[in-house]
Amino acid sequence: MTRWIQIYRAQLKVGIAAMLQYRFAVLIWAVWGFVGPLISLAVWTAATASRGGSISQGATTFSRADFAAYFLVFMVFSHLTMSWDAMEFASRIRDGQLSPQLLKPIHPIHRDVAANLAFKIVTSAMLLPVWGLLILIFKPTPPANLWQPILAVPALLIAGVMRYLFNYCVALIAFWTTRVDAINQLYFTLDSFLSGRIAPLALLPLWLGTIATYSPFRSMISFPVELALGRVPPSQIPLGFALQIFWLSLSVIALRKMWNSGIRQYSAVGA
Amino acid sequence: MSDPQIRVDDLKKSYRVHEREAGTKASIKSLFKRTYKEVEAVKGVSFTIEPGEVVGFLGPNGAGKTTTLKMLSGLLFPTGGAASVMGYTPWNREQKYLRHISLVMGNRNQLMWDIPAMDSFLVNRAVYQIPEKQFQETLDELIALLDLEKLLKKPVRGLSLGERMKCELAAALLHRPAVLFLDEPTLGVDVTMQVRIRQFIGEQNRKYGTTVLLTSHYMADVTALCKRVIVIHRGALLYDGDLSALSDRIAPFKLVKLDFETPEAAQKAGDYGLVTEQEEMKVTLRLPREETSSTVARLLAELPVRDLTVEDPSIEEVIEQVFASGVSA
Amino acid sequence: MMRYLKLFAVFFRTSVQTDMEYRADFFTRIIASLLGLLTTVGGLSVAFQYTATIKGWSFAQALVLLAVYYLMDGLIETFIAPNMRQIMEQVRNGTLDFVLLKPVSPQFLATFRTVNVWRLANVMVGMGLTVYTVGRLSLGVGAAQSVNFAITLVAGAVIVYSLWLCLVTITFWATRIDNIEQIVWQAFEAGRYPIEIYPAWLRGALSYVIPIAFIITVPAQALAGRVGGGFIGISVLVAFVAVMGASAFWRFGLKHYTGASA
Repeated sequence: MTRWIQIYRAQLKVGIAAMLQYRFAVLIWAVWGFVGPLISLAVWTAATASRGGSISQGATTFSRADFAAYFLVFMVFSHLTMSWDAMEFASRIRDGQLSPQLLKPIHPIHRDVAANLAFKIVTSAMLLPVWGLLILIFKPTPPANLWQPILAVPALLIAGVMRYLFNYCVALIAFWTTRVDAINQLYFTLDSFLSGRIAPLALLPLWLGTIATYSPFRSMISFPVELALGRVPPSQIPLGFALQIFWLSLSVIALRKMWNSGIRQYSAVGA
Repeated sequence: MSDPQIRVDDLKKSYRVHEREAGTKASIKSLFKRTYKEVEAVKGVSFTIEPGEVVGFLGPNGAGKTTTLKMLSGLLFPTGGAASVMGYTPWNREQKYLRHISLVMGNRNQLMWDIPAMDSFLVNRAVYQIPEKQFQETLDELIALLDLEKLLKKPVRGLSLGERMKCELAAALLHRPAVLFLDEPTLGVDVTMQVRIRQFIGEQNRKYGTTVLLTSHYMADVTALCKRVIVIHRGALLYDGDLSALSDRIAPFKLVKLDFETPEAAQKAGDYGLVTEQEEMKVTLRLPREETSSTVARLLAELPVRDLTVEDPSIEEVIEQVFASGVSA
Repeated sequence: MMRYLKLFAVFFRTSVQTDMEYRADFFTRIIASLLGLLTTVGGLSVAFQYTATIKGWSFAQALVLLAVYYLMDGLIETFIAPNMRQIMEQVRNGTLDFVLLKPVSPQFLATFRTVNVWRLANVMVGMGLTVYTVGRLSLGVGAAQSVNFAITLVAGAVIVYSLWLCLVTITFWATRIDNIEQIVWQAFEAGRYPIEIYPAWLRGALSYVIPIAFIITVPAQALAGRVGGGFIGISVLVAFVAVMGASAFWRFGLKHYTGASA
């Protein structure tokens, strides 16, 4: 255990120093993550205005301020659970950067996790004032209750881990194919619809909303966001957590299997 | 031929470098307060080179060789002094000037990585506006001299370092430059290929009167090609003259590496010459060239020697010697 | 001028040869592009489920804008982006030196050197969507509109080129901002929807600071025949001023790069 703490401490230190070296580049990436949700917010704000102040489907109603709350929390949670390994891994294989990493007596994922945490530590510090400013500008609705936002904390933790692992699985596909662009785009497309990025899941057409609820993507962002807003019907909360645990376990298993057979593939091709 | 082709007059270049220590704390500190240091890479260098000369430009790493070459090829603007190459001021980077020169850097390539070298050649033909007939003649000749036939169709990334350097040289010579700047052209290339490249450069010079200014870490490059060398160290000119005079004057010694049987013997090695290195029973002696054989014979006779080799000093050592003795032209 | 056209032809030919090695990329690009399209169109249609118009834009009209966005995106990825990325790469590893050693305009050699041929897939998807949406609105696009559209589209591309050249030039001073292109994309991303949906201050920024209006909205409106000759003139003028300014900044940056301004 202390070995891991030491390893992560050292890796984090290096990671943070590197992030600070590239602070402007890092800031640009971080702000980039805010743009999508803000554009969605603008679209929905405009749509709400055309409908005379609120949009509803079934029992769900969203006012302008509700949308603001939704997308502001969404952008923060999306930021806290993001990762970039899927974009990077293919080039790591192509340029032969992976091979030296495999020689180290530690799984390469730990280095990546540490870099990911370093990114989040550095950028969160930079983005906090931006977020505060956005709250002042958009005046979102406060959470409907207090106990659900507390539950959102563990939900966010699970979401962060499982989103990272899923993303890493997508990254590992690069072991088998070089066409990762299309796969990443597919993953992004699914993520856009099913994680709640373009619209709150409750506002999707019913069939799509149902798929979303059971898909891993809701567990990755939308569920913790709904909790933070206090908008989950209490009877649905256990199901939400159960789904999160299910997808988390599945992602762990998938990652192990994919890594093992991927490495075999990699060494067979002669890298 | 009264005008020198290259005239360098008190050329200077200094940089401002941002300094930072390692570690998180230092990197946070440097966000707020940056410390700068003025580095003088070249501090007032002067020389002239006549058309058709091949000159070796020597000095240890960081001596200012590359910086000088970059100024002469127009890539860097000097902080002081003047230079003229073929009557042009290089850093004005006139297209007419650039058409007459070429720069080859051993550690960087101009050829496009993903496509065969031939395609890069065609781009160069268009860029330098080489007439079709001349292009074909030059290309045929380069292919023959450098044995490029099979290399030109392969993507550059698939070539070995030496093969790539041959293609780089060809790309640089397609437009028949009058002045050729070579920065470490044989860096990392294997020995047979080094010989080949050397011969090729020599031929180009003899046949077309190409003026060559060459830097290299390999003394063999310099001895094979250059009658004259210019030595700079820490940005200042230390020697400008015949290569033969340099080695006679500066390196009239040999290095004898000894491995003794006993520590006591190693202690006594100092009686026979200047000890430059000692590690337990391994000793390196510097001996005057003319006394080397007699001293070695005495060593073998009088001390228990396990192993002995006699070497010429490396170029670095020669230059160190130039620096230490402060010889100037 | 002729010389530079010829050079560009050579560049284009070598780019095609390079990309032929990666033929399968074409289909990857088509698939990725269609998926991207699905995401945006789908996202938009979800919002339009609840209302017939958003800020006066019908779904069909918003789709025309989206089509122009994709067309422009394809043009950028084919002709502009690969060169700009390459310049930044060259600045980092020092091979920009070779560009400066050549007896041609460095700006030309650096910014037109490569064409990302397979990204023409995005152009094709954009064109297809444009034709489809225009047909659906039965706009009856005539010759004049087509010409105006082409002019404003090129003007828009020139503005993007200029903006990006400025950003690339900044990396002469700050080599570590290698993702600076994201700034262009962030603004560009916002342009896929009618700019009327944004708050006034952002609308101002999008019209004047990063003139996204001239890059996407004006060509879309030219296609719909909703802008007069005057506006097309302004669009060309903005493009001209932008490219002149960017060139001047680039030359200033090169001076710094070679140490002439130090």
